Formats: sequence, structure tokens, C-alpha cells
Amino acid sequence: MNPLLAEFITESRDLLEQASQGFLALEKTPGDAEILNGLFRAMHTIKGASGFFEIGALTRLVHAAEDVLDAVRQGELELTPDRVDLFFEALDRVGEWVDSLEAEERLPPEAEETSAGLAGRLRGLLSETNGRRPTGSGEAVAEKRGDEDAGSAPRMSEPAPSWIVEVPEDVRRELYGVGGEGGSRAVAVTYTPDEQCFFTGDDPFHTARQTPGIRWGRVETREPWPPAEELDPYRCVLRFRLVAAASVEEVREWFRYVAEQVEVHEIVPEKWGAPVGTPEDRALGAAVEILRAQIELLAAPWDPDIRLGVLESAAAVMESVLADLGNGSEVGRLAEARVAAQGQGSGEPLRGLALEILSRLLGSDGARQGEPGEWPSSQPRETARERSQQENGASPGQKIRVLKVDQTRVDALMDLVGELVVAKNALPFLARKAEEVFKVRDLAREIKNQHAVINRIAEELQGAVMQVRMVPVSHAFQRFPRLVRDLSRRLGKRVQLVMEGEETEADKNVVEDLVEPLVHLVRNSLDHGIESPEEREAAGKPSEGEIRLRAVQLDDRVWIEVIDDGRGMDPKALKRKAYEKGILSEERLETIADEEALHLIFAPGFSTAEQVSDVSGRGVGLDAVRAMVDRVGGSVNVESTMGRGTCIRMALPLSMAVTRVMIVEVGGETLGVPIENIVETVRVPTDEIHRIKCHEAVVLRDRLVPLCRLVRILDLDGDATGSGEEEAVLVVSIDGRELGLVVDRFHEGVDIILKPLEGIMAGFRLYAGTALLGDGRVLLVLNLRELVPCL
Amino acid sequence: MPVTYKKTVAVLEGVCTVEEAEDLLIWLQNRPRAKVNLKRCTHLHAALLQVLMATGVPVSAWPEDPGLRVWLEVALSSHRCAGQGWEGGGQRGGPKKRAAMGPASGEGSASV
Repeated sequence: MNPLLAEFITESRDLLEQASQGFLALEKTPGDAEILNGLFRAMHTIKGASGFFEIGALTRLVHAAEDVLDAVRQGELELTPDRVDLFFEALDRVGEWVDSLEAEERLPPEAEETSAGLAGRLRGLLSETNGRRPTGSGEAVAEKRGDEDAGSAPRMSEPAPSWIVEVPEDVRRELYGVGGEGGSRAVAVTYTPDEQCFFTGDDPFHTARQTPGIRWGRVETREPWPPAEELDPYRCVLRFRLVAAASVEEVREWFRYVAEQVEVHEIVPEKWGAPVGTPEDRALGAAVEILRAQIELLAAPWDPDIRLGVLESAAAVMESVLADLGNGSEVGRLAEARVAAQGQGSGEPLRGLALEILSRLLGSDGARQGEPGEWPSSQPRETARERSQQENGASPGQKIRVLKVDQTRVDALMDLVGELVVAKNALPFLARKAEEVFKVRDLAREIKNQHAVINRIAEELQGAVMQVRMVPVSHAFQRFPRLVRDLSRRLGKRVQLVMEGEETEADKNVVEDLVEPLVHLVRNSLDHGIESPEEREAAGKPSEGEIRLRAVQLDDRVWIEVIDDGRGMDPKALKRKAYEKGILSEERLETIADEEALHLIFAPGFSTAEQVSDVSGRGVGLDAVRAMVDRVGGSVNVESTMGRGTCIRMALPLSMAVTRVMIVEVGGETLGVPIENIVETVRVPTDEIHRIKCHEAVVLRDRLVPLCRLVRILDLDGDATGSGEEEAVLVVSIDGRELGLVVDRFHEGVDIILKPLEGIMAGFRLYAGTALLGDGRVLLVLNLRELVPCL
Repeated sequence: MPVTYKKTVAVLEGVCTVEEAEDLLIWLQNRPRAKVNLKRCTHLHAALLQVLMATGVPVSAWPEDPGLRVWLEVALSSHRCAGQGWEGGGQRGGPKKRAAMGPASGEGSASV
């Protein structure tokens, strides 16, 4: 894809997101000038950038939105919720089109029509303008504008900057006469971009190149270049100077986002563009130009085989220039310089001479510039701001270094760390081998010491890399204000969304995967949880419901909770529903505990709503939540109190890279069990195991825990009857149900890098994946949820 | 790929974005004799421009895009003779830059 388009797509998405947040904020604080300006800017930027592509439909729609926003900004139009809806509709369409641009690099065929319709409706709002004079915040906007104008007025009357003397003669000539009767239409612009501007996505060079009416431009550095090794490519030290045939207003409009970084001067080409002076003067001007060209030519690095030719021709040109100027005395020096240059094979002697002649010529040139009305003072003016920027630039301690790194590179790093962890785990085995096989105890001890060191470094490295991948969950949360607003309006409910702990960080993949399940959960809470205002009032609750999104970090997990204060869930209704849908067997219907029943909402094909609404309840959704949570190795938990509300909590790993498992031994095999499923490990005397029909169970702390002999289920060789005195039981929790796994032996817990099963093995759902142990063995990790149907 | 790194030449093509700046800088730092080929480049981000200017890398082919070429020729050929610093001003600019800025202005303004 065209990189410019790719950039446009990401940028537009961000801006659309910003815009919808802006509209939401505006509903809370109507008329906030800053938010309005932000909105307007967002629309304007999208519109501007869209102009590069053949997507007129998008441009026109955004343009319409921008115009209406401008009217709002002027206080001529009020933003009612209905109007905001219209804006949201427009934003959604634009969002869809951006998606389509990404997928197919073009707009959907119906875009033209949709755009015309929506743009028409938006513009229709303009006819509704109440014509009132701005009130309240509107006035603030007007005042601010007034201030700006007042502030810029004196600047306009300042004399043109000195550097315009560098503008070549023909550009001046071209500008001469552009003005016409309306007066001059030429401006000189000095654009000094902010040092950090690259981080805000600016491309000052692009901005400068596209200046309306640009006729001449130059880019230069604000400070001498450091050696290449010390250059910070992301600190902008450029300055642009341009001359444009445009009005001050046009240019200011163009640079309005960087207004404080731009100095615009109106210049009068008649004053400096007219070919003034005597013919001698003009000859002098030509000589200056020619000499400058030679200096450039000589400074450029040339291939050795053509360098001599270049020197030759430069010397010849200089000779004729000197002859033209009637300056015979320099000819002798020129000949010397020519010989020296050829001898050295470098243009330096010639260049030196040319510079010398040039400066002499310009000396007289400069004297002429002093004439009244010709040139402004040639003293370079430095504003206080520029000076302070240079000072800032000079102090080395202030660099902000933010790197944009492709995620694949970080992933590659993560993989390497994973391999390092595995390789490191081999050292204890080596130590044991040294001691037991080779009988070198000292060596074994030293290997252990080294292992401790490498272990520490590997752990720190792992932590550091994981830190790089951490992003705040606010990335996932940010779309919810809009979602809640739209849905609650559609459902006729009043809901307040509260977000907590948005700054909590988690692995990028976890946060990205979080979005979809959260959408389902929030929708579900809105649709099924929160009651209508009347119902709420009747129940003695405030008419406005509350949905709370909360993120908390707890050790190596992050809890994401969706809490509503709605009607709560009725376990009995859930059970009945599940039974009707065939999710629950009759037998289970009798025994299932209430807490367990709440988890039924995650079963595939389960929907409690009596009617399928267009919001949720299509029977898909919540099972997707559990699928995602499983995929990242988390767990999900439901608590609900009738009439008080529901809390659904997802406990997700902070990072998906490393999984902690407990190793157990069953029938001579070692197996891993994810630590998050484990409730406890107990040793149960054989005579405490009860038999209920053909099922074994044990009572632990007054709970009946069914037992499951892994040996039997996995069909491994070993004692499947339990003839020993006691049994090792691993109590695990699967979707709120407890289950005791009878194993032969417990081993330690280890950190592993879990690799999913691939190829033919991918069908073995019983295993979540494999991991390499330090001694080179492969550990199979159980997928407990798949184990349950095997019972 | 807007930037292709060959043995001693970095080829910049199309619109080169800010992400390339650091790679290019590192590449150039490691190859003092390298050159850049800008033939098919239509725009480069200011950060890249900065890298080219600061490292003073020779240009083996100038952009075909006349608007860009005008800018780059001035920026990339004059800085080396600017021993007296940029602020000295006044002494630069040659016939090349006079190749009229017309085309650049004709590129169309994005500000509708």
C-alpha cells in the first residue's frame, strides 16, 4: 500500500477516535471552546489529508462536518443530542470508509451516495442556525480570535526579514507584478518547527513544500550539525524560509497549527523585486550568481575521473567573470589557484578565491542595500523565542527519547529471551550431572553459582522486554464512552460509565485482545443488566444506572472488571434456560450450585434475553469472552446479586510470554498444570475417599470435591485403583467448579514458554501446548477445561 | 519499501516516512563512503532530510520530482561550503535553485 495512504489511515483513525471523545465530552460540558476547536481541527486535518487521495466522497462529508462545527464554534448552532447523533453517524461512515481503504484501497461503491446524503443532512443543520450572537463560551472563542489578530498585527507591519535578499533575482521578478491593484500579495515566511514536532506526527518539510503559492524556499539548520554519530534524527533542528505569492491570511491559515512557530511578513516585491540599478549593477548581480554556482560546484564531491574537468571548467568560468568585471588583477591569482587545484586534485584553492571575490563583490552589494527604502536592516533578527530554543537545543540533558519500534522486533527479542530462559534452565541439570556422573563437586558448585548469576540477568532481561510491550489498558477502554452513550440512547436507558485504573498496564496483545470481550460484556450489562429508568425508580434506585470498567493489577495478573448496578442475574432462570437450550443435562440441573450456574452465561449458544434485541442477545458473545480469556491463559468469574447488580471479572496475565505451571507426575509421565487453575494440593488418606455410585469424591473443608484419576483418563500405565495409603490430589478450579485430580507426585512450579501444539497435534485439545524443560524434555501442559468432558 | 539499502547506495523511493530516519542514519554512520539515490523519491520526511543534511552524504541521483529537487539541491549541496555556519546567510544559492518553484506550487494545496 502507498505509505502515504497507510499513514492517512492510521492518522484518521486516531482523529476519529479523538473526535468521538470530543463529542462525548461536549455533551458533558456543552460549548467548551477548547473541545470544539479540537473537534474542528480533527475534521479539518482529515479533510486536508484526504485531499491527497481519490476519495472525494470522504472529503466532502468531512468538509460538511467541519463547516457545521465551525458554525457551532461561532455560537450560531447548538449541539443537541440529535445533532451529535448525526455527527456520530458521519464519523462512523468515515471510519468504515477508512477500513475499506485499508482493505481495498478504495471507498465502497455506495460511499458517494451516503456521503451526499449525510453531507446534505449536516449542511441542513446550517440552515437551522439560530443567528444568535455568541454567548458564553462562544464569546470566549471570539475574544481569543480577537487577541490573536491584535497580537499578529504589529508583526505584520515589521520590516521584511533580511534573508529575502537571498531570494534569486528571477523569483523576485516573477513576484513583481503579482500584487496588482490590491497591493502586494507576497509574503516571506520563516518557519521554525518545534524540536519535538516529529513525535506529534508533523512533517515540517511537507508543510513547507505545500505552502500555498510558494515560489521559493530553502531549508537550513538552526545550529551547526553535530558529527553524524551524535545526531539525534528525531529532534528537529531545521528552519524553513519561503517566499510565497499569497496573502498573509492564506499563509497563516495554512500554518495555523504551528502558528507560534511561524513568522509571516508581508513583503512588497516592488521594493525588492524590481530590476533596479544601472546595467553595471545587473552585470554585478549576474557575476555574483555565477560565482555562487562555481562555489557550490567546487564544494561538491566529484568522482576523481571527472574532477579535473570540473576544476577546469570552473576556472574558465571564473576567468570570464573576472574579465567581465574588468578586474584584471585577479586573473593572475586565478591562474595560481588553478594550478594549485589541479596539483591537489581538489577544488579548495579555486573555491577559496571565488569566495574571496564574492565577498568583495557583496561588500559593495551590501553597501547598496543600505539605501533607504531598499532593504530592511540586514541585522538578523532573533526573537526571544528563537534564542531560548537555541539555548534549549544546546543543553544536552533535555532530550526526550522515544523510539517507535516495529512490534515484530520486540517479539523477536521476546522469543530470544524465552530461549535464553530455557537454556539457562539446563544449568542445574548440568550441575547435577557434574556432581553425580563426573563426580566433580567443585565444578558443580561453580556451575550453580554461575546459574544464579545468569538466572538473575535473564529474569531482569525478561522483565525489561516485557516492560517494553506494556501498554495502558486505556487503549482498550477508550471506545466505551461512545459505545455506552449510543447504546443507552438506543435502548432508552440512562447510564453513566465510570472507568477506573485506565493507567494499569498489561501486555500489548492482552490489551488488544481485551477489546472484543469487553464490548460483549458492556453490551450485555447495558442490555440485560441495567433496567429502564422507570423500573429503576420503582426499585428505589437512582434512575441513572452505572457501569463501571475497572482495571487493577494484582501480582502478575490484571483484573478487568465490568460492574453494573442493574437487576442482577437469577441463577434459577439461568439454569432453566440452560436446560431448555440443552446446555445443561437434567441431572446437572438438580446439582448445579448457584455460583456455578452464573457461569452458564458463557456457554456457547446461551442467551437469557426473552427477545433478541439488536444490541445483544444473539446467542453469540459471551462465549467469545471466555474463548478470548482462555486463549491468553486467564480466567473469568461472575458474581451477581439479584436486584443489586453483576460483576464480571476477567483475570488476565500481565504478559503472555511466560506461563507458570506446576509439574505433576502421572504414571511415569510429567505433565504441566497451569498454576492459575490450581486451588490447592492435598494428600488425602485412601479411606477418606468416598464412592458415590461409580464416582469417587472427597470431602475437603465441608465441600464435596469429585475426584478424577488422571492415570485412567489419560490412559497411562500405572495404578488406577488407589491402593496406596494416601493419594496426592491436586484441586483445580474450572469455571467455578472444583475438581480433584489424583496424581502420583507433585513437582515444583516452573516458568515456561508455552508453545501451542501444531500440525497433527493441533487437534489434541486436551493439551494446551508444550514447553521445553531445562533438561531438554518436552512438557505437555494440560488444558483442564477440555478435561471435564472426558470425565 | 521506500528505502532500499544496497551495498553502498541507499535508494529512497516514493514517499519516505519518519520511520526510516533512524535506520538511514545508522546505515550512513556505518558507511562513510555511501551515497543516496533519490531518483524516484517524491517526498521525504523532514527527519530524513535532516539526516541527509547532517551527514552530508553525496547524492548519486537527484529526484525526478522537480519540486523536491529544487529544495534538495539547495539543502544538500550548499551546507558543506557553509563553514561559516548557516546563520551567515546570503552567500548561497545558485542557478540550480532558480529552476523556478512553479512545479512545487502546482502540486496542489491540501488546504481546501
